[in-house]
Amino acid sequence: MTEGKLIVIEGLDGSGRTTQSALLKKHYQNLGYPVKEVGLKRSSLVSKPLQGLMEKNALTARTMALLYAVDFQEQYENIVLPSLDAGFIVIADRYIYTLIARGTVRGLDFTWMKNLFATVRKPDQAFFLDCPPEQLAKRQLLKNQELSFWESGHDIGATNDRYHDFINYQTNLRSHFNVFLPELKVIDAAVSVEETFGGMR
Amino acid sequence: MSGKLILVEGLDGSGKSTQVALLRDWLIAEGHHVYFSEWNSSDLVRSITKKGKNLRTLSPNLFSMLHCADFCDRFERFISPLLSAGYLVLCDRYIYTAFARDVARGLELPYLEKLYSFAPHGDLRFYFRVPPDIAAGRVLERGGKPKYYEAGMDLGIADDRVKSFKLFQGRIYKQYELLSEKYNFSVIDGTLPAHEQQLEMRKYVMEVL
Repeated sequence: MTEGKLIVIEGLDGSGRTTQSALLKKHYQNLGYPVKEVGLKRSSLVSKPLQGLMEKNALTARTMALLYAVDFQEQYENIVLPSLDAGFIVIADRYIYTLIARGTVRGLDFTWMKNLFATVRKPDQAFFLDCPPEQLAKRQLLKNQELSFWESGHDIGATNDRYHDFINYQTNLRSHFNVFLPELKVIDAAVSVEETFGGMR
Repeated sequence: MSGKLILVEGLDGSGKSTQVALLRDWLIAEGHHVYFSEWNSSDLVRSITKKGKNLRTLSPNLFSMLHCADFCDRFERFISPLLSAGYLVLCDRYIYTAFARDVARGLELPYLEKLYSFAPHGDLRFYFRVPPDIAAGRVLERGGKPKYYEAGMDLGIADDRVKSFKLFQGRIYKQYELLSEKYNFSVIDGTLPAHEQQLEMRKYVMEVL
């Protein structure tokens, strides 16, 4: 039996992860591989209640980190590991790197965050789609006509200028990925969809 | 001003809930500001845990993380600020419940100690020591069979619910005994008459107040 491969796509909000995941999926399917996709807030156990609690901004940063860890762990145990055992290519749209960075950017201790995922397997390949925050803002505005509460880090501090809050938060969050850059292949995602995909291949 | 954190630990059927309720009434009557918090009671997290338990889909890791999320929510929104405001906070089960149960489910103690490292160890840690067969007997006498996870049915140690419960309680007891040593629990003999236990408890409490 052949072990599958775990491919992780990381990147900030608007960096094109979802688009690139879909292209990667098609690429592998065309080559004849079975593909499984996972991502944050998709577990059957907590995705809905977690969404509801976030809309109310009811959780402390640590409780939120723990519930995201539950969401991750459930998919990890029930989808990622069994799929890899069955020889699938598993594409993860975000992985523990985002979860840890979101925690540390909110003041949670790095070693505490890492301990949450102590038993999690390393990916076979992990990409970080890198893109300047100004361009991320432009993309999010084109897509949604607004910069969201969470993408602007409004739970940890807000001014009356959401554009700059978004830039500041994303810049800050990006710096919390630095510690992982040796494990991630940085891809220039400021270019076209095709060029970004070319960079990943 | 900083309050005091007093917690009670012990097996199901050890009598700790009865005793902490008596202690609470006494402290209120003495004029203290008292806040009481129970294990697995967060209004935000509990329904998620309950759903997982009902579906019986919780692995030991998920079981552990959900109980930590429940505790964390109660700790950061209530227990910690109330302590800062000078309250006496009483907890019916605390992080040691997670240590004992999760280790009994196969998790590593150092991982759990790190997981719960955001919480202080408390000013008084009561441990109601009752031999596991006696505690289990009390629970079974109360009627109704133990719930799936209470009985450790997820571990597959016995097909029979009652048998599994007894075995699982035995494992948890072993962990409590180790934790009692390590974390310097104030041990109350849970087989003594209730009023004697209460007097003993109050003696300890008066020392920290």
